[in-house]
Amino acid sequence: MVSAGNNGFAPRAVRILMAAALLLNAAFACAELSSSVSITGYTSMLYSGNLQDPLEAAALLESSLYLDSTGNKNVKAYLQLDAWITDSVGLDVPRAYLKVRFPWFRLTVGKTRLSWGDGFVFNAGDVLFGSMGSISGGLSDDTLRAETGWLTALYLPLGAFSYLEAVAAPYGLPAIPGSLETDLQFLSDTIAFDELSAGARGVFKLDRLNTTMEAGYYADGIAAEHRPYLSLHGHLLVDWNLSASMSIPMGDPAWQQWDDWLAVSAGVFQLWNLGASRTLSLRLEAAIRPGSLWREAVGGEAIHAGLPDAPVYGLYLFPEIAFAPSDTLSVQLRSFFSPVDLSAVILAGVSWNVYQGLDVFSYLTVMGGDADDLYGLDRSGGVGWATGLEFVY
Amino acid sequence: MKKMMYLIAGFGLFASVCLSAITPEEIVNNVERNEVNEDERIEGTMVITDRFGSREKTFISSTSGKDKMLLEFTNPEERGQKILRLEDEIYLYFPEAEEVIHLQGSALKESVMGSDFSYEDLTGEGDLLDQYTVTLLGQEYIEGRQHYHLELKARKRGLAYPKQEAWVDAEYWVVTRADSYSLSGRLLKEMELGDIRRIGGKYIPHYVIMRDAMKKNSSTEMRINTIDLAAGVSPDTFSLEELTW
Repeated sequence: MVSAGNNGFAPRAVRILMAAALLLNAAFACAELSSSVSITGYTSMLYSGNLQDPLEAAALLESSLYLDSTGNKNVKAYLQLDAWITDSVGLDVPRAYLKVRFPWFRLTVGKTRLSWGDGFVFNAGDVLFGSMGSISGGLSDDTLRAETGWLTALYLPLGAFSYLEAVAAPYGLPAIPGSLETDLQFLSDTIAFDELSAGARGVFKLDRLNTTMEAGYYADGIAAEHRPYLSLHGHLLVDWNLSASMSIPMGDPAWQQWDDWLAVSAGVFQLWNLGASRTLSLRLEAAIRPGSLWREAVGGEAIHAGLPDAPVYGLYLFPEIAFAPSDTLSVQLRSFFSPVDLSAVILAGVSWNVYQGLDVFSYLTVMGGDADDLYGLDRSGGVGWATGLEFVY
Repeated sequence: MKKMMYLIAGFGLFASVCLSAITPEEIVNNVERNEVNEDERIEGTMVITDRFGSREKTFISSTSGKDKMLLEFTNPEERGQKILRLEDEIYLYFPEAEEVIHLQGSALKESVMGSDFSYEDLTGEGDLLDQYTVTLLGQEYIEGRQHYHLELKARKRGLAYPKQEAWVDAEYWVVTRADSYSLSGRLLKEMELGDIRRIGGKYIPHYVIMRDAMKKNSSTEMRINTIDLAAGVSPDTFSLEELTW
């Protein structure tokens, strides 16, 4: 993030941004492209749940510009530029990539996302970006896992539904969100070969079982871990997914600690059509780490979620109920629940697509738990309310 | 998309009053011969109207035969979102998350982008004569044109619409109106097709209006802006690779 704060833009950041803008401009200036813009503005109020603490208010304006090349069925370029204004100004490029289709394979180069494994919130098969912990964005986002990173990927189709995919990520995954300046600096850095992160996966459809299976491996050179994984998803009365992965230290791993490395995720989803465009959906996902903490952290161990040294518990749950009384209105109740210390953050929200491209939304989040739990009412953001508008055109 | 317009319609019958020598099976075969193309590419518009006004979405679709379709939305709100139909399978692609979702079970009943169409409407019903018992109810004149009135009753459970009625233009072999019913006989959806044009030896309706009878003041119009019946759609178009392109 390029932060202006009270001091204005840092000169170096401005130069980097200008260079980036010129490069991107050159890339798209003469291209056939489609574009769209989203602008989101909202106000929020935060309350700690502690009567002595003041009520805090904030406003945020975010915009995203999407540029997508068209006109060439074998080459595709995509750029997303995000900017936001709060008490500072920020700029980021979450996506900037080039895809090239060759006769037998497809190559992707740039900053983007690859979705390995399966799961809406918890996904042990996501060995690239990691989807077992708390959510990086807000609980209100439509897409709860959207981290991106610089990578090169090779996609080899094996029929209509099966494929192999290999990836190399020189700077590790994910990229630091909102860190354009760091991102651009990375691009000129050299990386030691043993720090290179790379992996591959195969995705296969098992027709008779109505199941898709994928298996893969990723070597994270920065975390110094081998990460094999297996992921299954299909439909049997309900949509289901099940993934497992290991994060095995490189070097000389102590195999008796295998349960410390194991991560498992599972989820079910069901949607009911209630007629007249009314739908009700239920989702439940679980993240399980057998070797992690299965008792409540106490004393110095107990650091609330969001801080780097927060305890990692053996089980987290994500329940969600969503009701859509019409095609344009939806109400949802979702939670990130930590059963081990019995704490949770709960979100209740409503969004309404008023006119074409225009959504109005309002969300209330409440944390529940004691002072030494992952989530607690008596801390900043213990109670939060946000309301705003988003317009896409 | 055009194929979807037709297929959603039903054909059926009961108590046939054969006013002509043609059989209901021949009518269905004639309709399918007219509607099914080796490949076609359509640029179209979907207008969803409800009590709050209208929402317009644009799309490009490629189809091959009866059961392969790839549809990509091109309007700003849903740009890049895609629907792949391959036989009875539906896959969705969301570019923001770079994620593919295989729609299964009850999720197929969900509305397509808030329209009066459901994903289930997009799935194939295989060979209609295998799936439904078709009866010719009679002949009627609609806007001065002779139509066959057909009724379709499902031969098995699990079809999206257990009973349908359809009106087929006797010259163009185009379904111009279709009503779909639940097992209990409740009207679920009404469809109307029109602006029939002759293209490449076939009669192509250029709009379809779908009304979900369960929704008040709601309708969805899909209109063909351009259609190419010799687009040379590659078989590779109907794959996860193309879906995630």
